[in-house]
Amino acid sequence: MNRRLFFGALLAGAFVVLALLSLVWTPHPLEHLAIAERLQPPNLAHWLGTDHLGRDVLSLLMRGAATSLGVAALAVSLGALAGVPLGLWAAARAGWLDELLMRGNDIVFAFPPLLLAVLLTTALGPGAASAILAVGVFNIPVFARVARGLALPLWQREFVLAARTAGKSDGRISREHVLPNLAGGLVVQLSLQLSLALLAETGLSYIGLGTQPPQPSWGRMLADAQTLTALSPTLALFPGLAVALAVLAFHLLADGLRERLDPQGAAR
Amino acid sequence: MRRLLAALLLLALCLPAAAGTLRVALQLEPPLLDPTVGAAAPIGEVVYGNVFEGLVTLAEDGSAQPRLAERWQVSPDGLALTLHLRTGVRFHDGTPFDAGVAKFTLDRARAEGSGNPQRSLLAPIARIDAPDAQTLVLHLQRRAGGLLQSLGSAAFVMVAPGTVATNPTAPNGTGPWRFVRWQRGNAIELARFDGYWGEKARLDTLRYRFIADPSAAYAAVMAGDVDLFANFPAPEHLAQIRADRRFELSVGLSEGETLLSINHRRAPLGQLAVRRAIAAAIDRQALIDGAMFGYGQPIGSHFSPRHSAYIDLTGQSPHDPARARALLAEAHWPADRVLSLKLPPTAYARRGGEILAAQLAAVGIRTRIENLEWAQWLDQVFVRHDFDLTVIVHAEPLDYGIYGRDDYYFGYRSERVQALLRALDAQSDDTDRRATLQALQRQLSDDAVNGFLFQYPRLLVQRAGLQGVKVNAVGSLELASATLPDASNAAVAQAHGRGGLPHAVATAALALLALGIALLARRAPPRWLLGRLASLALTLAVASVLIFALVQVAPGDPARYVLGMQADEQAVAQLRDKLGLDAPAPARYGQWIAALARGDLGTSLTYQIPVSQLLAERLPLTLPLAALALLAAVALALPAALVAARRPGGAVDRAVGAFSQLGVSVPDFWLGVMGAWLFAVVLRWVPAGGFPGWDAGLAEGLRALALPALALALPQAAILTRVLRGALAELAHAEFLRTARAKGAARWRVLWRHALPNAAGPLLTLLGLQTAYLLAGSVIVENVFFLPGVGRLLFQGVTSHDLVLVQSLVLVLVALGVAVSALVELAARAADPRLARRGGGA
Repeated sequence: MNRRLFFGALLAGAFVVLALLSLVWTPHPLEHLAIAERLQPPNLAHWLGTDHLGRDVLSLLMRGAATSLGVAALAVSLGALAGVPLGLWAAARAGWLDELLMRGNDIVFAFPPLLLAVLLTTALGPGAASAILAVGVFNIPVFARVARGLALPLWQREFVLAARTAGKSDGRISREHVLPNLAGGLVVQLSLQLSLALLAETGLSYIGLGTQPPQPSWGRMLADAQTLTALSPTLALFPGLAVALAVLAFHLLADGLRERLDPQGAAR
Repeated sequence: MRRLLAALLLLALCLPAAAGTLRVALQLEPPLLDPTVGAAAPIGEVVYGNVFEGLVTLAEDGSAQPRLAERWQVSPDGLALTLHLRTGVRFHDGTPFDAGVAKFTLDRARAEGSGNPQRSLLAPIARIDAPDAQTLVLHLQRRAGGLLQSLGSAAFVMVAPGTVATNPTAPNGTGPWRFVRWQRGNAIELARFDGYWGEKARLDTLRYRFIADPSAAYAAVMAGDVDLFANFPAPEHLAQIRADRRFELSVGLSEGETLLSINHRRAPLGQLAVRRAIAAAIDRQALIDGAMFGYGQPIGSHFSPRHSAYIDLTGQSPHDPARARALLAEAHWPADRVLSLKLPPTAYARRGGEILAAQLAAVGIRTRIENLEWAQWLDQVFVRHDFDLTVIVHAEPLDYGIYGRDDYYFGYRSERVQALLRALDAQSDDTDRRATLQALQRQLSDDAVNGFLFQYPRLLVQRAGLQGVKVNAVGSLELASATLPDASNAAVAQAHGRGGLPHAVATAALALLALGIALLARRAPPRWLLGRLASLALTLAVASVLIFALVQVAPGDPARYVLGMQADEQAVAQLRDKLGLDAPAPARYGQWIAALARGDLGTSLTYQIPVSQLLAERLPLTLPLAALALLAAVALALPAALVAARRPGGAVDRAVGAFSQLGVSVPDFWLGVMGAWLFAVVLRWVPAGGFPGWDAGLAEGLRALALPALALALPQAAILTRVLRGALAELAHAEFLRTARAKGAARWRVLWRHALPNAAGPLLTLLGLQTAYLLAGSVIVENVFFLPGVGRLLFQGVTSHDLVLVQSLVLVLVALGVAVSALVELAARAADPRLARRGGGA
């Protein structure tokens, strides 16, 4: 167990646990507004202070973790579930299909996720659904590309050729032989994409196109805090730190997993 | 000696009053500058009373005061209003003002299909006569007691017949200030009109800037970038501003009533008991404290406390949760009912909405908050009445007439109120009117028509010593009598003469780029080149279809956004027709593509000027910003990667690795926020927001872009460092490098001359991708620092539902990204011929 994997898993695990916990319990109730107690710095009653409406920052961060992680996880899952089969298919059937897929990938890649999110929210209205869709759609070509890249060399290998001679269909071969060998690389990519999706979700919430209130989200906490930095500098500090640490955690996890599962690829 | 001093003193007194430029900030930039065709409040804020004038103006208490009309009388039967106009009045272009022009203005405003947002107020007029140059007679078809006050509205300012077409972008009026120029997204400049009929303006120039973001506004004030901030958007900072001796704060009340509007059409909300319960659940003072930091005055009905007829009815609907619960029980309020609370994108609504939701929840009324952009709010709440509750400020003065309108957005209907309004029309005597208005206020309060929250405050922040600023009843600033304490002004000095250098730089850069492209293109095989171009074209075509499809699916009516809440249905329909918004989708797509082929990116719906012009104004900010960020990223990454790769696995390498790990994890806008706080608010090294324009000098411009570029660059630098270091480290084992070392070359030389060029391929490809991301990332960063670039323009287009703008801009950004990627691929092939053989990138 290398250091990166250890710390990454620990940190990421901590965030996930806190996020899940927030769904049933938070140190202070989230709906409780106490204007008189607003903008307090960290103290004994409120470990990370209070926001402009008197709500406990720690509780908000925990629930925000649930929101951000939830959106990111759903988006990445969407991308993987759609992208991996596409990539496997492209690797199996090289030729015009492969070309078409890669061109399609290029087109989606040409759209930075933010622009895609902007368009989607113009069409569908802002909200978690639009954010998941925008970030998810952007993940599809990533997973397709990775799956294809990992699968392609495998199609030259003997055991696959043997399976083909035995008459197995391309689909079955992909499922039974190719996919299991990709698992390591895909898990690494999942973790990496999760960290990127977290950043994207925060950005979208920050400009108001992602999760909507009263659902707490880290990006929105940052946006609210921005106007108040002169009154309470720590208000913007904690959400930003939370984002940075969560993204870092999944990044470390990805690096650690890569070292463990795919040592040759680690040099890539 | 004493005589000399006395002479000097006398001389000083005789000097003309303080000259100079006044820098004014407002929250929102107007979409156009003609209040007779657009209703957005910012239009009047800039031009009303300054550039344009009406026949009368409204005093604080709501009475009509002479402006272009000196005096007037109403005929005994109330059916003729005669106005005697001023003499010697001219428009800025020299056109004389007389009754003929006044008749033209009013006839134009009240004509069918005029597009005037307040056209319905002139409905009582049957005919207008101009018997001589100084007399205007309005013949009415019925008595209309409030007509004179209506003439004070910004929509009825006097316009010259010859210039109506150009007024939206180059206003020509009779006011003390004449229009000089408008740099969209940046500033509007007005200069003193020396031919003014009244007291000439004391200052030379007015320069308006637009800052809606509360923290950017605060930063601009503290940095001394503005002399005057009308409707300051950050009540949370007023305590600090008050304490600072450099500023003066003037707190008053605006004409805006802040309401929790209730949709009477939605079943239980139609019941009086329920609405009274809602009123009893509201704690106005807690709301004002939480949402407005204590600024604002509680109101009990829909009427401005500044008006002479105002009565305080807050005592009729005090905060009483117990009573609220009792009323709800009486009305059999269903416990599972959840009300939709739809909020427009303003701070008072967002914060206030959350507080109100909590207060309503405390008595058992559950709500679901939906945050909408203006275009959505107008569409869902105002047009389609698809809401239960909303929070909104009604900013027009004396707008109690909305309670008599059929099918207004909150759906209230009362015979008694309509009778009172009719009576008001028939009365011109002040005492009678006051009694009727008071009865009206009581009726609205008794009926608990809406949750009457508070009168929106007017927060004016100005430099100490600034005198003579007048706020008129419509809410705009009249600055003719404004004087500054000192005549010198840094902004004026920088404004001219330094524009040459940035232009030269831009031209040089473009020339170099063209040369580079030509050289690289020569090296590549023509077949590959053609193939790449074809692929580019295909990508753009598909992208255009995608963009068009998504944008067209969007709900909401852009025409309504331009014309505003008070506009006629007819005016809206006219605008839709004029803009061709009702044609079928494939036809519109075809038109769009055909226009693009001609180089026409379309005309923005909100600004009503060509998108290409808007783009041309904004690209000089976004492109340099992206370029600076890229340069900074490379400048940071290259040395870091070189140092790290020198000794792989060493302490420096691990440190660099850790930093870059962190750098990738941190959101760039957070860096921006914290950086702005540190470098702009605390240290004051750089401005916290805004862009003075390249006209102000290269150094000033770069200073404004420094922090945003850095915020964008740091995460990119982190990625670059990782990739570059990885590539260099991988190469470290390569044989040719070991040969070089064996020959005695120093480590640095080996890295620099041998390893680096081989890493150039992937590096360049990455840089190409990064540029596309930087261009898109500018959307967020430009919002953090309030930079008038392409990203911010796109964002404003989305929120105002300017479909044409969004379509064309996204396509341009995508095209730029794709083009840069292709160019970089070209460069990479030239740098690393192996890429050509390998068959191109994956």
